[in-house]
Amino acid sequence: MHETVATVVENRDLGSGVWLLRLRSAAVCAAQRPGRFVMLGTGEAPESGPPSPILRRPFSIQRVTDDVFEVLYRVVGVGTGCMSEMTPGRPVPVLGPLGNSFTMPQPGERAVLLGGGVGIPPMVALADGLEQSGHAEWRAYLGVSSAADAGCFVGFAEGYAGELDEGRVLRATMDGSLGFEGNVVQAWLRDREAWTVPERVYACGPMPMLRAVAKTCADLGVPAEVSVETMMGCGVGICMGCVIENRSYADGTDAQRAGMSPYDRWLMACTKGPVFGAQAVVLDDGGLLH
Amino acid sequence: MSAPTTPIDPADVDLSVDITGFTLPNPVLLASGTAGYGPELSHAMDMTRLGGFVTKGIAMQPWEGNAPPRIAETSSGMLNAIGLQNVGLASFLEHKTPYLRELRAAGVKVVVNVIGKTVEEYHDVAHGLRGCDAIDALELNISCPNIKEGGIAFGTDCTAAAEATAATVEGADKPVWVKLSPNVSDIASMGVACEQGGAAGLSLINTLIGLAIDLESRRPRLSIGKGGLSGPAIKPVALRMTSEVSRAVSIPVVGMGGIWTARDALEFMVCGASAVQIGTANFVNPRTAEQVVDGMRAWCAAQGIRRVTDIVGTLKLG
Repeated sequence: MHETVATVVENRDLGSGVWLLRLRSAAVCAAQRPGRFVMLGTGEAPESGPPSPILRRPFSIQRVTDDVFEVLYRVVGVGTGCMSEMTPGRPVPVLGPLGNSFTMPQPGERAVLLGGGVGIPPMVALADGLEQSGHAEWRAYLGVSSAADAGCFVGFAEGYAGELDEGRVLRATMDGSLGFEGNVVQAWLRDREAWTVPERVYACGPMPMLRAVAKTCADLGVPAEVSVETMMGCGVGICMGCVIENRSYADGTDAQRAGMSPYDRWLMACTKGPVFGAQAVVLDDGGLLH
Repeated sequence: MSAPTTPIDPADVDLSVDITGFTLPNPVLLASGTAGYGPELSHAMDMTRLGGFVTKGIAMQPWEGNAPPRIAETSSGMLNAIGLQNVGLASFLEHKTPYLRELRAAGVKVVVNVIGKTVEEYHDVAHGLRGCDAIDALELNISCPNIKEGGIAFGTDCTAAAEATAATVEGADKPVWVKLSPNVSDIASMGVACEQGGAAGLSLINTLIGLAIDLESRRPRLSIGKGGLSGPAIKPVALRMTSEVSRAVSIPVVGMGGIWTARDALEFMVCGASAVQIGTANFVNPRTAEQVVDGMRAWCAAQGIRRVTDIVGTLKLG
């Protein structure tokens, strides 16, 4: 983990409030692994005194290119609003990379990458990581609500342009305005009917999508990991704000609970995650507000 | 204060503070609940540069804390309702003290924050910490609900606060600080009650109870409704209370509430704080405490102040 100041290289408007921010920091890039995230200071950073907004914001690292890393964001509030004003050369306080990373697939396993909306970035990072490790056996299913949100696909569109809808990358929209009509789970289930290889699923997106992924994978007996988003204050395990419920505690019998510490009911997404086994946590966003 | 105006060498500034029977290498501590049990921040800052460190609160048994959402950002601050999720005394002694011993070996003083729902629990945690060579003092969190009194906080009733203090002091073999709640009309009386209960020192302020809502859904932004407000938004309240309490008691006061810079910290000392704690700022910039220590030394040197404690309680009123 590094506490550093990165420099804006590019801040690109992808339409519908979705933006791609590229930042230069050799230290952050050197420590990146697929699934990890950064906490970005989004407001003006005075020489001394509190910034406004005061808390940093968490973002998955989508891609590393040399000493530049990129994050995808949607403008939903004051912090992301400030980010959309950033111009090249602007210094940005960065803490990271933080958190754990995905478990890499076994040789012979097909990695199935399911990404929804601004949850697609960790899937880009994972695809890149798989490519770099020589594990070409992956498929990505990416979903947004409509073609207007196609900016969310930018990571795969730039890294795997020749494979969009024809190769390993399939795009889906709920209204059918681009690619497959339906959600990413439906798109994957359609394709897998013809598959015989063992699979391992990775997913990031809205909680309803992650719940559907977890249930489907449980029914099919397919191992799955999800990357979750929660309200995060610090990113390093000290504010204890970003918790998600431990399923073995939530679903446990009294006898099972008796063998666990109540301290372990709520798991910090920043240090125990953001990647969890899909069956290990209760996929409820706790009324996540932006 | 008759401060000389000739600047001195920063190396000649003495930042040490004698407090409740031991010496802090400098007046800057990390506040309870904002720095975990120590190791969490060690990757992002040099913990050995601290004057002291206050642990996350410890109860007799582990507490699970509240459901999320637990935090909400506010104007120049944040609300939290973590619910004192903690590992409990036994796990603390077994798993958390080795790192704290390392900190102490480096000269950093360690204060354990103690929580409980009954007077007996406060006593028992303090008693359970007897003989622990990883700590220098206890800090009593009296903002917990008092189950026996129907859920009112110890921190808002002078008699209950004094009883909790006395029980903790009786159980402990280390100095006991009491952390005061600002959610009272007369915090000086609370401080006096705790002093009479045997407190060696007082720390203040804990968070101010607040509410943040989501307008469209018309629901609170935190799962349990209200939460504790911290950050720069509460600094003026904290300064006022530090000044009032420090003039009402004869034991040392440790100030906190929205400290971001060395100047903030020094203002608390002028208002009567012998030392300060950094809280919410740790979440935003883990190196805040180091920067505050450096800034304090630089300011004292520029002002020609050889001992930082010379400014304690020098507020000119009236």
